[in-house]
Amino acid sequence: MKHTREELKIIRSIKRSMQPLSVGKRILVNLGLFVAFLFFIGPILWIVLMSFKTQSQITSWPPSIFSSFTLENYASIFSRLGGAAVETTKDMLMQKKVEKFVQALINTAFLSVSSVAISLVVGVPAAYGLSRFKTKSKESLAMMFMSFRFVPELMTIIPLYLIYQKVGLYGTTFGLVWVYILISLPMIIWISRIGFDELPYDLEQAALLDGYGKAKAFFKIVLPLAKPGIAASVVLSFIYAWNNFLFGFILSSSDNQPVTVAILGFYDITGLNYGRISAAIVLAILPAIIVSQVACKHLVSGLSMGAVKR
Amino acid sequence: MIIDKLRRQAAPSDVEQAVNRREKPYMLIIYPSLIVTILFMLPFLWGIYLTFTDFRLGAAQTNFNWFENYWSVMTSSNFLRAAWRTTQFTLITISIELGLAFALSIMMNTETIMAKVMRRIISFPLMIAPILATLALKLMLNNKFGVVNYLLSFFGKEDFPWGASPDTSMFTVILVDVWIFTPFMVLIILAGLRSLPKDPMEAASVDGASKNNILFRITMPILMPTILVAVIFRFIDCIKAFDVIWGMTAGGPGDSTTVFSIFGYVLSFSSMDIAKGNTVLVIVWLINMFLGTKLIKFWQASKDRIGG
Repeated sequence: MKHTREELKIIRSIKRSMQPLSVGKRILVNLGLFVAFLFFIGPILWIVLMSFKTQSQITSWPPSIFSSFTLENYASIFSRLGGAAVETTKDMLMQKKVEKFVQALINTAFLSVSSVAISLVVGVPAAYGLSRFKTKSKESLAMMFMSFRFVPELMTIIPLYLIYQKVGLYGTTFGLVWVYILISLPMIIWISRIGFDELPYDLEQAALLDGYGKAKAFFKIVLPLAKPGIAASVVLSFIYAWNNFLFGFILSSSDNQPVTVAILGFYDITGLNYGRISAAIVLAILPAIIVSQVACKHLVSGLSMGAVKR
Repeated sequence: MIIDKLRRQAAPSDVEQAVNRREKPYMLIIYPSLIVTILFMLPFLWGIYLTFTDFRLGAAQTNFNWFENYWSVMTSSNFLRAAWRTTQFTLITISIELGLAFALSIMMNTETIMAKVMRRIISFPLMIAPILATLALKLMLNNKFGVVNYLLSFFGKEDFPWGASPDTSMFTVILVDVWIFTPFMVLIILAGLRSLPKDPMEAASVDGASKNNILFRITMPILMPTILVAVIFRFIDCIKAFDVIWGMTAGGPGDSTTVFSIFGYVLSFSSMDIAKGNTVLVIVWLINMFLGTKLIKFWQASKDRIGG
């Protein structure tokens, strides 16, 4: 269709503002981001690479990228050093650590899942209550949660360490789960509550007008729509729990420790097998990365499905 | 039937009444509050109480000490050195992370290929447990076979000692923290950049403002609250940093990287002086509270300046 002069001017200026960058600028940006890629992602790739090498290749100088590919590191983690002779005490110590590592993986999984599950059951209703509760002191609530962050974790762990010893919870899984709940509960409440805040009150009102009870309204109407917010809180607190170091460092026994503590143990032996450590690290960081990537995709689709017409 | 419904709609909703009656919501909040209180508040308060005693593990009795711990801790040279290390660490780390994150965010706000790639994967260092990231980087920063040292050998610096020497340990620890947490700042600042309203900038350029002028006088102030959020989070976390530094150098050769939290830990578990160790941590908490609330006020002011 024919545009007037005015319209042409406007169209031209819009087109100009939507112009992609000039070639020179694009090269610069791509270059800069490539350097950033090498800096931030390079080490991760390198660790993955190292986990597929043998000890001798790693310690060879200069280090090579594609010398050879072996699965022996992963195999040895899962199959107790197989047929290799356990000659020196070094080997024996290493083997013990390796066995402990698989146990540590299971521990961490159990700790993260159970603490997040319990926090969900207790926290989501609380978040709902917080969201619907009309009170003037909402800002002070926010400030209170912020002030929890001010406290160095060690400051609560040390007294907990003493208390746990007295009560007999030191080194127990039960005790550890409790402490992990301390991490996940506030996060789940905080983020789920934001999800609930997004939903207008009309939803419950409509449900109640249709004869639903308050509980039924919550479970059948509000909860499904709040799923994205709750899912986000679950993902974040799971990752936070999985990555936690300090609680396990101080409050766990050697049977109970999460992977974060177990891998630190690898570093105490001299002459350790770097390939195996790399494999262990890869296994330890895999769950968190998988969860975050999967969750991202789900969250995006969930958000678009839960749209409420306002 | 319709009249009944209309009548109900006209009257103050009994749902709202029930909510305001403070019944159900109150109940729902009780349980988590109880849990948090028992697990957090009580040990926390007891910990503070301990700092006023001369509690030692395995000591016969505990005596009340008033402020003796605080006095002796704050006048000890070890504490002052730890304070200096923490200040060094915090200020340098945040400056580097802020600058890097800002530059990266601007670049990642484009539609180039690398920008699209980076937007997807920039958060990876953040998903890794800090202690594990530190240990992994430690493997690569080894001066016998570390790949980074190999790259450095092209510049003749292949025996850079990283964490093994007191001269370079602080630099090493800062580098590791930058690696892990710059993506955190990038995520926040990038989100802020992408939600910038276009109108003020366009209006200014139509009015003839130069690109630099626009950047500094319009974009920056609007971005300031976002930047401050990132800075506040990092600031508080840096002051109480433990994981990264412990994993890399456990306090450094000597005490070259002993920051507050590590100092407190060492006092509590190596010297067995839990009272003094906790004293250090309480001081950290107070510093955090003081500086944190100041920063938050600053943030609120910057929000008000752009109209909330």
